Amino acid sequence: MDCKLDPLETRRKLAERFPRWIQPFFTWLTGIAMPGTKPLYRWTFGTHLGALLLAWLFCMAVGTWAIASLLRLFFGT
Amino acid sequence: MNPTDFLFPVAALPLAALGAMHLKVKGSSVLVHFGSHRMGFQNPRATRIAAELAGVATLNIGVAAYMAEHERHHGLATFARAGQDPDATLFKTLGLLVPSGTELALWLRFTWMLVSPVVHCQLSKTRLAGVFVFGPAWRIALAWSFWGALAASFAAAGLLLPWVLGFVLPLLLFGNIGSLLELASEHRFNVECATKGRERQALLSHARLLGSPPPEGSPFRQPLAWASWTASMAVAMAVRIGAWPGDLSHHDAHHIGVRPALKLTRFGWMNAAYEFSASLWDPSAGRLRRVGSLREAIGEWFKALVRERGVPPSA
Repeated sequence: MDCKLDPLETRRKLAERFPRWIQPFFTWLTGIAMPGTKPLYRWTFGTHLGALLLAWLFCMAVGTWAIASLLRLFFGT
Repeated sequence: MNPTDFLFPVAALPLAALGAMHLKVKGSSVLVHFGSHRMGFQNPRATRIAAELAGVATLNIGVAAYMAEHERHHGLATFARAGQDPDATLFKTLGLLVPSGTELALWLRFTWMLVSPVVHCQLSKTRLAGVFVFGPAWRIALAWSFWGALAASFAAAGLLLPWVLGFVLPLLLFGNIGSLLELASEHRFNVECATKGRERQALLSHARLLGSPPPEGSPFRQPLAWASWTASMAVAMAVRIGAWPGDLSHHDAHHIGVRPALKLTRFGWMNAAYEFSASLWDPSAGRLRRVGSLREAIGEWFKALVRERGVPPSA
Protein backbone atom coordinates (compact mmCIF):
# COMPACT_ATOMS: atom_id res chain seq x y z
CA MET A 1 0.00 0.00 0.00
CA ASP A 2 1.40 3.37 -1.00
CA CYS A 3 1.90 5.49 2.09
CA LYS A 4 2.34 8.73 0.15
CA LEU A 5 -1.18 9.33 -1.08
CA ASP A 6 -2.78 12.73 -1.37
CA PRO A 7 -5.82 12.37 0.89
CA LEU A 8 -7.79 15.04 -0.97
CA GLU A 9 -7.18 13.37 -4.33
CA THR A 10 -8.23 10.04 -2.78
CA ARG A 11 -11.43 11.58 -1.46
CA ARG A 12 -12.20 13.20 -4.81
CA LYS A 13 -11.82 9.86 -6.59
CA LEU A 14 -14.02 8.10 -4.04
CA ALA A 15 -16.70 10.72 -4.66
CA GLU A 16 -16.41 10.31 -8.44
CA ARG A 17 -16.42 6.51 -8.53
CA PHE A 18 -19.06 5.63 -5.93
CA PRO A 19 -22.75 6.54 -5.56
CA ARG A 20 -24.00 9.29 -3.30
CA TRP A 21 -25.57 6.99 -0.68
CA ILE A 22 -22.17 5.61 0.36
CA GLN A 23 -20.44 9.01 0.59
CA PRO A 24 -21.22 9.56 4.33
CA PHE A 25 -19.33 6.32 5.01
CA PHE A 26 -16.32 7.59 3.04
CA THR A 27 -16.52 10.91 4.89
CA TRP A 28 -16.35 9.06 8.19
CA LEU A 29 -13.53 6.80 6.99
CA THR A 30 -11.31 9.38 5.32
CA GLY A 31 -12.11 12.24 7.70
CA ILE A 32 -12.83 14.47 4.69
CA ALA A 33 -16.27 15.73 3.66
CA MET A 34 -16.75 16.81 0.04
CA PRO A 35 -17.40 20.57 -0.27
CA GLY A 36 -21.00 21.52 0.38
CA THR A 37 -22.07 18.20 1.91
CA LYS A 38 -24.08 18.04 5.11
CA PRO A 39 -24.07 15.25 7.71
CA LEU A 40 -27.00 12.82 7.67
CA TYR A 41 -27.00 12.94 11.44
CA ARG A 42 -25.32 15.39 13.81
CA TRP A 43 -23.44 13.75 16.66
CA THR A 44 -23.56 15.19 20.14
CA PHE A 45 -21.59 14.45 23.29
CA GLY A 46 -24.55 12.38 24.50
CA THR A 47 -24.73 10.25 21.35
CA HIS A 48 -20.95 9.69 21.44
CA LEU A 49 -21.41 8.52 25.02
CA GLY A 50 -24.30 6.25 24.01
CA ALA A 51 -22.23 4.80 21.16
CA LEU A 52 -19.41 4.11 23.59
CA LEU A 53 -21.81 2.32 25.93
CA LEU A 54 -23.13 0.13 23.08
CA ALA A 55 -19.59 -0.64 21.91
CA TRP A 56 -18.61 -1.45 25.51
CA LEU A 57 -21.50 -3.91 25.90
CA PHE A 58 -20.83 -5.44 22.48
CA CYS A 59 -17.09 -5.91 23.13
CA MET A 60 -17.71 -7.40 26.57
CA ALA A 61 -20.27 -9.84 25.15
CA VAL A 62 -18.18 -10.85 22.12
CA GLY A 63 -14.89 -11.20 24.02
CA THR A 64 -16.41 -13.16 26.90
CA TRP A 65 -18.40 -15.42 24.57
CA ALA A 66 -15.37 -16.14 22.36
CA ILE A 67 -13.11 -17.10 25.25
CA ALA A 68 -15.87 -19.07 27.03
CA SER A 69 -16.53 -21.02 23.80
CA LEU A 70 -12.84 -21.79 23.28
CA LEU A 71 -12.33 -22.84 26.92
CA ARG A 72 -15.37 -25.11 26.70
CA LEU A 73 -14.11 -26.58 23.45
CA PHE A 74 -10.59 -27.31 24.66
CA PHE A 75 -11.03 -27.94 28.38
CA GLY A 76 -14.72 -28.77 28.63
CA THR A 77 -15.21 -26.08 31.31
CA MET B 1 -16.09 -31.25 16.62
CA ASN B 2 -17.98 -29.01 14.23
CA PRO B 3 -15.47 -26.58 12.57
CA THR B 4 -17.80 -23.62 13.18
CA ASP B 5 -17.61 -24.27 16.94
CA PHE B 6 -13.98 -23.30 16.67
CA LEU B 7 -14.00 -20.82 13.76
CA PHE B 8 -16.61 -18.37 15.02
CA PRO B 9 -15.00 -17.78 18.43
CA VAL B 10 -11.55 -17.47 16.84
CA ALA B 11 -12.91 -15.03 14.24
CA ALA B 12 -14.46 -13.01 17.08
CA LEU B 13 -11.10 -12.51 18.82
CA PRO B 14 -9.70 -9.84 16.41
CA LEU B 15 -13.06 -8.07 16.67
CA ALA B 16 -12.79 -8.07 20.46
CA ALA B 17 -9.20 -6.78 20.23
CA LEU B 18 -10.15 -3.95 17.84
CA GLY B 19 -13.12 -3.15 20.06
CA ALA B 20 -10.84 -2.93 23.09
CA MET B 21 -8.58 -0.45 21.25
CA HIS B 22 -11.64 1.58 20.29
CA LEU B 23 -13.02 1.65 23.83
CA LYS B 24 -9.73 2.79 25.36
CA VAL B 25 -8.97 5.49 22.77
CA LYS B 26 -12.55 6.75 22.51
CA GLY B 27 -12.85 6.74 26.28
CA SER B 28 -9.73 8.81 26.90
CA SER B 29 -8.84 10.77 23.77
CA VAL B 30 -12.44 11.58 22.83
CA LEU B 31 -14.83 11.55 25.81
CA VAL B 32 -12.51 12.32 28.76
CA HIS B 33 -10.81 14.80 26.43
CA PHE B 34 -14.11 16.54 25.68
CA GLY B 35 -14.87 16.46 29.40
CA SER B 36 -11.53 18.04 30.27
CA HIS B 37 -12.27 20.88 27.81
CA ARG B 38 -15.83 21.15 29.21
CA MET B 39 -17.22 20.44 25.73
CA GLY B 40 -20.08 18.13 26.57
CA PHE B 41 -23.55 18.85 27.86
CA GLN B 42 -24.79 22.36 28.67
CA ASN B 43 -24.44 21.51 32.36
CA PRO B 44 -20.70 21.33 33.28
CA ARG B 45 -21.39 18.98 36.21
CA ALA B 46 -23.26 16.54 33.95
CA THR B 47 -20.36 16.70 31.49
CA ARG B 48 -17.87 15.95 34.25
CA ILE B 49 -19.88 13.00 35.59
CA ALA B 50 -20.42 11.54 32.12
CA ALA B 51 -16.73 11.88 31.24
CA GLU B 52 -15.72 10.27 34.56
CA LEU B 53 -18.12 7.38 33.92
CA ALA B 54 -16.63 6.90 30.44
CA GLY B 55 -13.16 6.94 32.00
CA VAL B 56 -14.04 4.38 34.68
CA ALA B 57 -15.77 2.02 32.22
CA THR B 58 -12.82 2.10 29.81
CA LEU B 59 -10.13 1.93 32.53
CA ASN B 60 -8.78 5.40 31.86
CA ILE B 61 -7.43 8.06 34.20
CA GLY B 62 -9.89 10.63 35.55
CA VAL B 63 -10.82 14.01 34.11
CA ALA B 64 -8.77 16.04 36.62
CA ALA B 65 -5.61 14.00 36.01
CA TYR B 66 -6.17 14.12 32.26
CA MET B 67 -6.77 17.86 32.37
CA ALA B 68 -3.56 18.49 34.34
CA GLU B 69 -1.49 16.65 31.74
CA HIS B 70 -3.44 17.96 28.79
CA GLU B 71 -3.02 21.60 29.78
CA ARG B 72 0.74 21.08 29.75
CA HIS B 73 0.43 19.37 26.36
CA HIS B 74 -1.38 22.44 25.00
CA GLY B 75 1.19 24.89 26.41
CA LEU B 76 2.41 27.17 23.65
CA ALA B 77 6.07 27.07 24.68
CA THR B 78 6.40 23.42 25.58
CA PHE B 79 4.24 21.72 22.99
CA ALA B 80 5.61 18.31 21.83
CA ARG B 81 8.89 18.62 23.74
CA ALA B 82 10.08 15.80 26.02
CA GLY B 83 10.67 16.87 29.59
CA GLN B 84 7.82 19.38 29.33
CA ASP B 85 5.07 17.84 27.23
CA PRO B 86 3.73 14.75 29.06
CA ASP B 87 2.96 12.88 25.81
CA ALA B 88 6.51 13.36 24.52
CA THR B 89 7.89 12.51 27.95
CA LEU B 90 5.96 9.22 27.87
CA PHE B 91 7.79 8.18 24.70
CA LYS B 92 11.08 9.20 26.29
CA THR B 93 10.27 7.16 29.41
CA LEU B 94 9.37 4.15 27.26
CA GLY B 95 12.76 4.37 25.53
CA LEU B 96 11.70 5.56 22.08
CA LEU B 97 13.24 9.02 22.11
CA VAL B 98 16.97 8.39 22.02
CA PRO B 99 19.27 10.79 20.15
CA SER B 100 20.63 8.28 17.65
CA GLY B 101 19.52 5.67 15.16
CA THR B 102 17.90 5.24 11.80
CA GLU B 103 14.25 5.23 10.76
CA LEU B 104 14.37 1.43 10.66
CA ALA B 105 15.73 1.32 14.22
CA LEU B 106 12.92 3.64 15.36
CA TRP B 107 10.32 1.45 13.67
CA LEU B 108 11.76 -1.67 15.26
CA ARG B 109 11.91 -0.02 18.67
CA PHE B 110 8.34 1.25 18.30
CA THR B 111 7.06 -2.16 17.17
CA TRP B 112 8.72 -3.79 20.16
CA MET B 113 7.20 -1.11 22.39
CA LEU B 114 3.72 -2.16 21.20
CA VAL B 115 4.19 -5.73 22.41
CA SER B 116 6.76 -5.35 25.20
CA PRO B 117 5.51 -6.85 28.50
CA VAL B 118 7.46 -4.19 30.43
CA VAL B 119 5.72 -1.36 28.55
CA HIS B 120 2.31 -2.98 28.99
CA CYS B 121 2.89 -3.49 32.71
CA GLN B 122 3.95 0.12 33.11
CA LEU B 123 1.00 1.55 31.14
CA SER B 124 -1.57 -0.80 32.68
CA LYS B 125 -0.32 0.00 36.18
CA THR B 126 -0.72 3.72 35.52
CA ARG B 127 -4.22 3.22 34.14
CA LEU B 128 -5.37 0.95 36.97
CA ALA B 129 -3.93 3.30 39.60
CA GLY B 130 -5.70 6.20 37.86
CA VAL B 131 -9.01 4.34 38.15
CA PHE B 132 -8.81 2.56 41.52
CA VAL B 133 -6.30 4.50 43.62
CA PHE B 134 -5.96 8.16 42.64
CA GLY B 135 -8.62 10.81 42.09
CA PRO B 136 -11.70 12.06 43.90
CA ALA B 137 -13.04 9.66 46.57
CA TRP B 138 -16.44 9.39 44.84
CA ARG B 139 -14.78 8.32 41.59
CA ILE B 140 -12.65 5.70 43.35
CA ALA B 141 -15.74 4.38 45.15
CA LEU B 142 -17.64 4.33 41.85
CA ALA B 143 -14.81 2.44 40.14
CA TRP B 144 -14.57 -0.22 42.86
CA SER B 145 -18.37 -0.63 42.98
CA PHE B 146 -18.76 -0.76 39.20
CA TRP B 147 -15.95 -3.21 38.45
CA GLY B 148 -16.61 -5.18 41.66
CA ALA B 149 -20.28 -5.65 40.74
CA LEU B 150 -19.34 -6.69 37.20
CA ALA B 151 -16.77 -9.22 38.46
CA ALA B 152 -19.26 -10.61 40.98
CA SER B 153 -21.95 -10.96 38.29
CA PHE B 154 -19.64 -12.84 35.93
CA ALA B 155 -18.32 -14.99 38.79
CA ALA B 156 -21.91 -15.89 39.74
CA ALA B 157 -22.54 -16.91 36.12
CA GLY B 158 -19.36 -19.02 36.12
CA LEU B 159 -17.81 -16.72 33.51
CA LEU B 160 -15.20 -14.85 35.54
CA LEU B 161 -12.19 -16.29 33.68
CA PRO B 162 -13.66 -15.77 30.17
CA TRP B 163 -14.63 -12.21 31.17
CA VAL B 164 -11.15 -11.41 32.43
CA LEU B 165 -9.41 -13.03 29.43
CA GLY B 166 -11.90 -11.88 26.82
CA PHE B 167 -12.67 -8.35 27.97
CA VAL B 168 -10.64 -6.94 30.87
CA LEU B 169 -7.23 -8.07 29.65
CA PRO B 170 -7.82 -6.94 26.03
CA LEU B 171 -9.14 -3.61 27.33
CA LEU B 172 -5.80 -3.14 29.08
CA LEU B 173 -3.39 -4.60 26.52
CA PHE B 174 -5.04 -3.71 23.21
CA GLY B 175 -6.15 -0.45 24.79
CA ASN B 176 -2.49 0.35 25.43
CA ILE B 177 -1.65 -0.48 21.81
CA GLY B 178 -4.47 1.75 20.54
CA SER B 179 -3.28 4.60 22.72
CA LEU B 180 0.35 4.23 21.64
CA LEU B 181 -0.67 4.22 17.96
CA GLU B 182 -2.85 7.28 18.54
CA LEU B 183 -0.17 9.19 20.42
CA ALA B 184 2.68 8.24 18.07
CA SER B 185 0.71 9.50 15.09
CA GLU B 186 -0.41 12.70 16.81
CA HIS B 187 2.63 15.01 16.67
CA ARG B 188 6.24 15.17 15.65
CA PHE B 189 7.36 14.93 19.28
CA ASN B 190 10.74 16.25 20.32
CA VAL B 191 11.55 17.63 16.88
CA GLU B 192 13.14 21.04 17.04
CA CYS B 193 11.76 23.96 15.05
CA ALA B 194 12.69 27.59 15.33
CA THR B 195 9.12 28.89 15.53
CA LYS B 196 6.91 29.32 18.57
CA GLY B 197 3.25 29.41 19.50
CA ARG B 198 0.57 28.58 16.93
CA GLU B 199 3.06 28.25 14.07
CA ARG B 200 5.08 25.74 16.07
CA GLN B 201 1.93 23.75 16.84
CA ALA B 202 1.04 23.71 13.14
CA LEU B 203 4.52 22.55 12.13
CA LEU B 204 4.52 19.70 14.64
CA SER B 205 0.95 18.50 13.89
CA HIS B 206 -0.92 17.03 10.95
CA ALA B 207 -4.47 16.16 9.91
CA ARG B 208 -4.70 12.37 10.02
CA LEU B 209 -6.70 11.29 7.00
CA LEU B 210 -7.28 7.83 5.59
CA GLY B 211 -8.26 5.88 2.48
CA SER B 212 -6.80 5.00 -0.89
CA PRO B 213 -8.08 5.76 -4.41
CA PRO B 214 -10.10 2.99 -6.09
CA PRO B 215 -8.60 1.26 -9.16
CA GLU B 216 -9.47 2.81 -12.52
CA GLY B 217 -10.98 -0.27 -14.23
CA SER B 218 -14.03 -2.32 -13.28
CA PRO B 219 -13.84 -5.03 -10.57
CA PHE B 220 -14.47 -7.68 -13.29
CA ARG B 221 -11.48 -6.59 -15.35
CA GLN B 222 -9.13 -5.95 -12.42
CA PRO B 223 -10.18 -8.28 -9.60
CA LEU B 224 -6.74 -8.30 -7.95
CA ALA B 225 -6.46 -4.51 -7.91
CA TRP B 226 -9.94 -4.26 -6.38
CA ALA B 227 -9.16 -6.97 -3.83
CA SER B 228 -6.02 -5.09 -2.85
CA TRP B 229 -7.96 -1.81 -2.61
CA THR B 230 -10.65 -3.48 -0.46
CA ALA B 231 -7.96 -4.83 1.85
CA SER B 232 -6.35 -1.39 2.16
CA MET B 233 -9.74 0.16 2.99
CA ALA B 234 -10.32 -2.55 5.62
CA VAL B 235 -7.00 -1.59 7.22
CA ALA B 236 -8.04 2.07 7.06
CA MET B 237 -11.33 1.17 8.79
CA ALA B 238 -9.44 -0.65 11.53
CA VAL B 239 -7.25 2.42 12.07
CA ARG B 240 -10.30 4.72 12.15
CA ILE B 241 -12.03 2.49 14.71
CA GLY B 242 -9.08 1.45 16.84
CA ALA B 243 -6.69 4.39 16.78
CA TRP B 244 -8.42 7.52 15.45
CA PRO B 245 -12.08 7.38 16.50
CA GLY B 246 -14.33 10.42 16.78
CA ASP B 247 -12.74 13.76 15.96
CA LEU B 248 -9.15 12.51 16.20
CA SER B 249 -8.56 12.82 12.44
CA HIS B 250 -8.73 16.57 12.96
CA HIS B 251 -6.60 16.67 16.07
CA ASP B 252 -4.33 19.28 14.45
CA ALA B 253 -7.24 21.71 14.16
CA HIS B 254 -7.78 21.23 17.88
CA HIS B 255 -4.33 22.73 18.47
CA ILE B 256 -4.15 25.18 15.61
CA GLY B 257 -7.76 26.37 15.63
CA VAL B 258 -8.39 26.62 11.89
CA ARG B 259 -11.43 28.78 12.40
CA PRO B 260 -11.23 30.33 15.88
CA ALA B 261 -15.02 30.64 16.12
CA LEU B 262 -15.29 26.86 15.83
CA LYS B 263 -12.51 26.02 18.21
CA LEU B 264 -14.67 25.95 21.30
CA THR B 265 -18.05 24.96 19.96
CA ARG B 266 -19.48 21.72 21.27
CA PHE B 267 -21.22 20.42 18.18
CA GLY B 268 -18.42 21.36 15.80
CA TRP B 269 -16.06 18.89 17.40
CA MET B 270 -18.61 16.09 17.57
CA ASN B 271 -18.94 16.36 13.75
CA ALA B 272 -15.35 17.29 12.99
CA ALA B 273 -15.09 15.90 9.43
CA TYR B 274 -17.96 18.12 8.26
CA GLU B 275 -16.86 21.17 10.23
CA PHE B 276 -13.19 21.18 9.29
CA SER B 277 -13.07 19.78 5.76
CA ALA B 278 -13.76 23.17 4.16
CA SER B 279 -10.37 24.34 5.36
CA LEU B 280 -8.76 21.19 3.93
CA TRP B 281 -10.08 22.02 0.46
CA ASP B 282 -9.10 25.68 0.77
CA PRO B 283 -5.35 26.07 0.15
CA SER B 284 -5.32 29.53 1.72
CA ALA B 285 -6.80 28.34 5.04
CA GLY B 286 -3.42 27.75 6.62
CA ARG B 287 -3.61 23.98 6.94
CA LEU B 288 0.06 23.11 6.73
CA ARG B 289 0.31 19.35 7.02
CA ARG B 290 -1.78 16.30 6.28
CA VAL B 291 -1.01 12.59 6.16
CA GLY B 292 -2.93 9.81 4.41
CA SER B 293 -2.27 6.77 6.59
CA LEU B 294 -1.21 5.66 10.05
CA ARG B 295 2.13 4.51 8.66
CA GLU B 296 2.74 7.87 7.03
CA ALA B 297 1.80 9.74 10.23
CA ILE B 298 4.28 7.81 12.37
CA GLY B 299 6.86 7.64 9.54
CA GLU B 300 6.86 11.45 9.17
CA TRP B 301 7.69 11.75 12.84
CA PHE B 302 10.49 9.20 12.65
CA LYS B 303 11.93 10.88 9.55
CA ALA B 304 12.00 14.19 11.37
CA LEU B 305 13.59 12.58 14.45
CA VAL B 306 16.37 11.10 12.32
CA ARG B 307 16.94 14.49 10.64
CA GLU B 308 17.23 15.98 14.12
CA ARG B 309 19.75 13.35 15.23
CA GLY B 310 22.07 14.71 17.87
CA VAL B 311 19.42 16.81 19.58
CA PRO B 312 19.16 15.46 23.13
CA PRO B 313 15.64 14.20 23.93
CA SER B 314 15.35 16.66 26.80
CA ALA B 315 16.23 19.70 24.65
